[in-house]
Amino acid sequence: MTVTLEETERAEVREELQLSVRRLLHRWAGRTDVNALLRTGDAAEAGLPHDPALWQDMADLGLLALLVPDDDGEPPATAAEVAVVLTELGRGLVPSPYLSSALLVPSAILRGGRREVAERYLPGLTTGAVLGAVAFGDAGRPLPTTVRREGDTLVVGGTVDFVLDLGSASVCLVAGVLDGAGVVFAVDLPADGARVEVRRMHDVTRSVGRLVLDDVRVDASAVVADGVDADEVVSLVRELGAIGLAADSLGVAESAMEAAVAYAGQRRQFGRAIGSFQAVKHLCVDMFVSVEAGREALKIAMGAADRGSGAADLAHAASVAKAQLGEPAVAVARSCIQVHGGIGFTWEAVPHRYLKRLLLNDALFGDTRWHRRRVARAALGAVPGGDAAGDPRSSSMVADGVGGSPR
Amino acid sequence: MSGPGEDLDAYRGSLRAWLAANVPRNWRSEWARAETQENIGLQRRWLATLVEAGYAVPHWPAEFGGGATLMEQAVLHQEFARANAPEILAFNVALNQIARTLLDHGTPEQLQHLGGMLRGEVWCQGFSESEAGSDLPALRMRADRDGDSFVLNGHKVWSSYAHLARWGMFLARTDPAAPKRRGLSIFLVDMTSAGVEVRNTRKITGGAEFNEIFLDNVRVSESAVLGGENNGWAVSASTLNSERGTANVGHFERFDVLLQKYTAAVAREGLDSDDVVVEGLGRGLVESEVLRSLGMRTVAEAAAGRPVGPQAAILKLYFGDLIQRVTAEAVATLGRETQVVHEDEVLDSYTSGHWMHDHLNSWTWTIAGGTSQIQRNLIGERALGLPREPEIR
Repeated sequence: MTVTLEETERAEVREELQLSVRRLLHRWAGRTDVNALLRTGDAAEAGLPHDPALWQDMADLGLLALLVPDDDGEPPATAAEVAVVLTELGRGLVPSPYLSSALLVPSAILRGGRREVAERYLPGLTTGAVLGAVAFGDAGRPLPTTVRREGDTLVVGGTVDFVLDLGSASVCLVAGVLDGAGVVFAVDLPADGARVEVRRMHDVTRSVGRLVLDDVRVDASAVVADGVDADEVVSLVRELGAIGLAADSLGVAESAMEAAVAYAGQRRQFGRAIGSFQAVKHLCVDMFVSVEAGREALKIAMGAADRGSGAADLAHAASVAKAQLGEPAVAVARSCIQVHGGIGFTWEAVPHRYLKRLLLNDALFGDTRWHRRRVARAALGAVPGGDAAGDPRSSSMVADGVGGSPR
Repeated sequence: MSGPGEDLDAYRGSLRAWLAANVPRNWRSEWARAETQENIGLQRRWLATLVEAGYAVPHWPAEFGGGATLMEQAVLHQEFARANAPEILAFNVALNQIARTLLDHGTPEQLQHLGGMLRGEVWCQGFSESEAGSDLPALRMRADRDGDSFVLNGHKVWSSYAHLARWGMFLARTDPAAPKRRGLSIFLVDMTSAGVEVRNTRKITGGAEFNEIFLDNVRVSESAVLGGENNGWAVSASTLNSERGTANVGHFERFDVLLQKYTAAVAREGLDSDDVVVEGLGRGLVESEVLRSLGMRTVAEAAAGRPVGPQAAILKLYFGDLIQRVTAEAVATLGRETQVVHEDEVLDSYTSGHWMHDHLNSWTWTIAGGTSQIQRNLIGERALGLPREPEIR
């Protein structure tokens, strides 16, 4: 690795972006009594996890348009900059559908390359008028819906659970199987035959829902991709989803670590700060080391995403990031509660919210175990003469147990 | 126009070509079978080959046979590790810690020792004592001035390769009245001097790396003082901080090669259907990749002149935990066969692929050069700004 001039410039741009996002979120936190909203324990009732005023501010800053090509046909930024925003949202435990609307939906539409779909949704996504979600099913699992054709109309049935940001979505990209091949299409919400069931989660800063589709009719013009292209779109979104959540988790873990360090430096017992006791100090250091390792893992993933790496490389890098920012990040949040002692055990204090957001992040887009196993299976498949697992990514997504699903 | 990256690629290419032509085949088993003196002879021959090719001391200044940039050094360590090149463990202390200290503080006369190091003179370091490990400044070895010479008395422990050493570098107390850190000085001592006795301490692998050194009225000239009388604590910082991250890159790379061996073993033993084993392997692979990336980034930051901060301590802590866990997992996974002693285990490598041997040696990384607990204190106090534990006097 050599640090080039271009990289230095990009690093500076990212630092500026990070600062402006942090400032924006700081102002938002100042005018929003998140704790009061969350106290009810029912985010949807409290108007969360989507705050239209914050969303508008983010649109005004251009944060919703980072990946969408402007008039020159070039996107203003890359996934690395989106990750900067996601990390800041995680740091502030900010409820926001940013991951789906600014990263996953635009990436799917752009990779699908259908002009009609792009013209219909991208402008609204960038201004903030359209909010999105992606219902592609879980990492390594078959596509979750079945689709049949009736003339120019697709008729869709099936249930997709644990769809992130579903509660606020006005469009949901759905993946399914049509005539034995994959297809991805856009469903405008609300739609006849489509039911959105927002699930009550321990992490009240997020909206996660179940999308039930019962003979929902979708015009053929809403197809984002089909056949091999659909498989590619689904793979890409699954990897980017993992990377995006890893970026969020980095911010959450960093925040949890900083909170614990600050508390350990300030809370006094036996006449001195508890952070001077090695038992407490060493917990804090382990948190810090985990955060630094997570930061590096995310850089590895960003590098792969920015290079436009092949599917196997991107999958590997996504797994590195999601695994390193999975269980190790959750452990940071656990220690944060422990360092806070009795206060850390209360609803009023923040530490439990780090834990809950990190555990939800870990559970979506492939958990730590799944990603570790995928990395190992790829390595085992590359052992000369070893029959091992073969290439875990070789099979199609239509069949069962695909995309490197762990056995 | 060629950027620095292209130059590095070219450098890497030339290293690979040289390694392919020069790394002795089966050196590991050959060296392991050799008796001690013969083994040192083999290491010395490889050192001579490296000196001739210009790869022995890339981190020294150009006038002494080095002059590689930090990035080139990192690439060199990386390629040597990947090529499974021989490790010249007996000379590491001389070529790294002691050479660094001489280069930073040596008189022109003392710098003459660098030539001897390149010819394969073994050096040892006498810092730790039985009552001064993590708390090094508490050391008791005395150096009493007697006219223009000093008389040394004391007892040192954990000294690598002292049984083979021609020279030693010792940290001793020259002013017993001064506060702990102030009254120390560093001495360069001829290990054949009258009054020096070395006793081997077998380590947990059974290997003969460590020694105790007894100094009984050993007389040295005042020209043996390195970096000034009573300035020993400041001078020792060069020794303790000689690692600038580049050699780490090589260690991390060798560990990755070890993980490839573990991967192959899991496949060979048909354990790839065991989810627990596969997950553990995956965790090791992920963390090794993160470590290697962090290692290279640290060197790149240092090369760009940016402060590296507590990075060395972070890397050491992370690596220690990682190598200990992965070797433990390999021992557990591969079962009773790992409990058999292998003939070529006498090598001090921690990446031999004999899992029990490597596991036992993994404590090197959590104890030597500052225990993991000391690293945590360091990071907690310097990077996180947490208060120190009150000092006991």
